[in-house]
Amino acid sequence: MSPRAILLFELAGLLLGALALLFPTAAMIFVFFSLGNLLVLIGVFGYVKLVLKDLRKHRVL
Amino acid sequence: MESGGFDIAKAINIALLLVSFGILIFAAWLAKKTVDQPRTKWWFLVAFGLFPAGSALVSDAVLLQEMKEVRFCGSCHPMEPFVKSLSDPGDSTLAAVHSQRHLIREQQCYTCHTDYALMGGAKAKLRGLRHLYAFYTKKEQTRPTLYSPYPNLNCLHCHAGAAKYEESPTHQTIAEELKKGETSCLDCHGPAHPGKETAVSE
Repeated sequence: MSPRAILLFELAGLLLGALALLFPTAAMIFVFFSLGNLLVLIGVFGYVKLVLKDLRKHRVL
Repeated sequence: MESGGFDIAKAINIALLLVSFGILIFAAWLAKKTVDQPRTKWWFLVAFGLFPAGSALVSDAVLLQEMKEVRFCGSCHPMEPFVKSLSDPGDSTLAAVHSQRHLIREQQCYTCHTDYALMGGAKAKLRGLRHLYAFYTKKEQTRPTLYSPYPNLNCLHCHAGAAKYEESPTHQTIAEELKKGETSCLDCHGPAHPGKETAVSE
């Protein structure tokens, strides 16, 4: 996953989370928040993977 | 959590999300300038790892609390009559009586419709998802019904051990049946919500 994709995933996820918080109806929470959480999670995992790759490249791991 | 405290938590959560958003934009700008410097990588750790993950976790906690509120349940159109009845002085259904006499002061839907077990809360959330799915996919919108009979244990969680409950001759006679769920509390004390025709008894 490219850094740009990580950035987009996390920005979109945080935006959806904020929308669910501002309008906490059942549909907003279940759909927007779940989706937002998933996007942030994908972004964070992408970042961790990128860091591990970087560490291996520099023979730290 | 009291509603005042909850509003503060929600405000902090929104602020945290905004800060996370800002730091992400800043990190993206920083990446264009000085990507190989160690200081930039620390910024990345904060922007791409710590803040988004932290914000998501705090949001989880805040929204899980929000899902317990009556206004959350009432945000779906089919639930409106149930929620309105809680504050309708002319309504004598079981839920209205519990709410209006302040027997359950807040989070009335959650208190009665969440099983008192380790996975009770999680199961309630899954049932909520099923309701939402049914709401958007079913063509005919009918009165919402429970997926399984209402468990007596949810009533007994508060009433068992209370003098008024224990001293009732009827309760003493059918105590075992009530515990096993062979006789429902609602058979005598129902209906729980408007839309069914029996009057509630004390």
